[in-house]
Amino acid sequence: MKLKIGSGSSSRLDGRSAAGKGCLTLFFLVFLLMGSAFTIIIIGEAVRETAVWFWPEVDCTVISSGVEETGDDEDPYAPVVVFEYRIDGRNYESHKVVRGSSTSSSYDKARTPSDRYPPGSRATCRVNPDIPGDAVLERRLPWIALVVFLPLIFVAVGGGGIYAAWKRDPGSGTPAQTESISQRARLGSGLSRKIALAMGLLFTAVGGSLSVFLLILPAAGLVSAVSWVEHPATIRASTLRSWSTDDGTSYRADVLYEYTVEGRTWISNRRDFSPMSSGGYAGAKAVVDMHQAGNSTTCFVDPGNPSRSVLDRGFRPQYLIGLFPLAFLLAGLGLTAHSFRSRLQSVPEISEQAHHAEIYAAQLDLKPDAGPVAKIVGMGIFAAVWNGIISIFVWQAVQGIRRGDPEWALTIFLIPFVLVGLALIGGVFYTILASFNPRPRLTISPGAPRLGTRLRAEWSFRGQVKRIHHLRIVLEGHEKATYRRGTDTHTDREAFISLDLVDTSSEWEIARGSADVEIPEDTMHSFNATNNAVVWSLHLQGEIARWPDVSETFDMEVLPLARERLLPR
Amino acid sequence: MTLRIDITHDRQWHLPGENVSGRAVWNLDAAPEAVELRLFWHTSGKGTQDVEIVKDLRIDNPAASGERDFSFSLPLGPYSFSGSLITLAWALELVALPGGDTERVQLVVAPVPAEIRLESLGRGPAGHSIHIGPSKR
Repeated sequence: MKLKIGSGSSSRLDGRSAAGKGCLTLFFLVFLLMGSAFTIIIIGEAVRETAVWFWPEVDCTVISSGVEETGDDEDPYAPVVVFEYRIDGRNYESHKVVRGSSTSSSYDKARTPSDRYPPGSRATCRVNPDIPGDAVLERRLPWIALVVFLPLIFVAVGGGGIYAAWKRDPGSGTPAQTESISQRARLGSGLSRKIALAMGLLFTAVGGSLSVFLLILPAAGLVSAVSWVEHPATIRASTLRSWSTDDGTSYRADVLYEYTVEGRTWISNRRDFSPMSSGGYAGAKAVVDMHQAGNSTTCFVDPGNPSRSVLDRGFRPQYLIGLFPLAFLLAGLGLTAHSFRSRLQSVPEISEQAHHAEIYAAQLDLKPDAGPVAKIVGMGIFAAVWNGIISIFVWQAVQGIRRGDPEWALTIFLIPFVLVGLALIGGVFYTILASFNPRPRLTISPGAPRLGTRLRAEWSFRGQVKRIHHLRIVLEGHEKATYRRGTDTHTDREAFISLDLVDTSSEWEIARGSADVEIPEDTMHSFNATNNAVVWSLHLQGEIARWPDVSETFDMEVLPLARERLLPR
Repeated sequence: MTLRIDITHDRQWHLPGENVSGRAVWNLDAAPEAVELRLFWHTSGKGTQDVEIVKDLRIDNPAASGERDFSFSLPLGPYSFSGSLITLAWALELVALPGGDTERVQLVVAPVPAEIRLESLGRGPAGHSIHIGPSKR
């Protein structure tokens, strides 16, 4: 007799309406057009910057060089190097150091070209072959090309959205069509891994780049400035700069000071190594008031390069903002590693049965899900990143209170975050204390028991086991389901079986012993997929009075029933 | 257009490790690029869906109508089961490519003639024993 079982599932949407497709198309068209426009702008700029590398070289003479004020508070300084050159018997004059804008908020950066091109010196400039009056002294790499991936994301979202809206569903138009589930395995696994890998690499690149600018460079400056030499300096000007941004007005204290080293006078406006030189009005105003023009002060000068100096080489809380991109970097590295790992896991195990057979007969020393050092490091990093980020805002709130202008909304908003931060610090100490606990050793035989067979677990401890006054070991099976809600990933667990192996307060039983348990055969074996799993584990709980308990979870594998038991010959 | 999977056992339930065999039949409007018969499991429930094709049989450039006998050996696991969070089901699918027209047959792969029900298992089921004492080494 033959059996035909109809699926009856026709979950496929019958077809999207033209109006719906039109709305989706308009929505994604905005992304596509905006992304395309910015992509074209960036590529065009990169091409023009690259073209300079192919302009012909011409000898030139520097007439004058220095720094001029631009009148723009955001980038108030610009290098000015006037040079002349001759082409086809005619003299030309230019003042461009590089193609495009070279203005800067840093006086030091604006001054550097004039140091390289003193008046009267000979140099080589590059002349635009189409416009002989257009010449530059230096070429720049087209770094701007590196950011082209940002608008390309919009292009991908827009283009992909429009494609998805109009894509013909396989089999659409045929009524009561069954949607293929297995096709998702063909299409989905590779695609999701590629998306995860792309996102991981993107987060790693962005987090890494920001970490360099916000953490590594400032930290390197702080460390190197320790050996810099103190010099007397004079404040030349102290200006409160302000400019409009998307979030309102930004303020920066621009303190221009001069100092003399070996008879040469240098000018700089570097106050510190903080990457965040701009901020609120009150803070910037306080700095300007503190450094009045004409006042004497001290600065710290690099003995190897007197052009480098700083007014304040001390650590300040603003530097902690450099910890923020670390979270992106860690997330990116984690996502990248996960995508590689899932790729490896998706490769079918050739000798799965052989592997099972091997550990089925053996004893197995179980390893806890995390060692004490890993727990301390993990908790420490989490607490450091959390509190590092929170401390920036706490500092801002404290500054407001200190100057008599408290930001109450910010202060109240911060309270729960600060409490979590304190709990995390407490967690670090708890984990450190727990690391001094006796270390359990748990051995099971067989190494991977089958359903319906007996499991023997042997336990012992290293360390002062007498501190444990109660011991409980439980064999537990639970479902583990991972799902996305919005942009967050959640994992739910639900135990479906819990078998006590030991529950004792006897000192000699706690120290060392063994227990047997029969695993029911009418339950589920271990199962591990990308998002769903059935996990078997032994949980050991050793209670210690007035001290963190010993608490370890040891994952183990429970195999399906043996073939011989299911299909006796 | 017809896609059909005929299974040569008169039951939906199969033991792990057993063979599942039958005949795949197709009668399409035009010759497809390929037809594929896939033995797979998939999850449903709270977690994001996992799907894994365990065995497949691909017939390239077939005629618009045809049939092919098949025999797949089922693995020892995973079992069909249903819990509080996860349901795992087995199925056979016959898919015409590239259009994706599909016929599916549900299977139960378990040691008993029904999926394993995890929520029905209580704490400490009968049959387990505990021995406490020094290990015999």
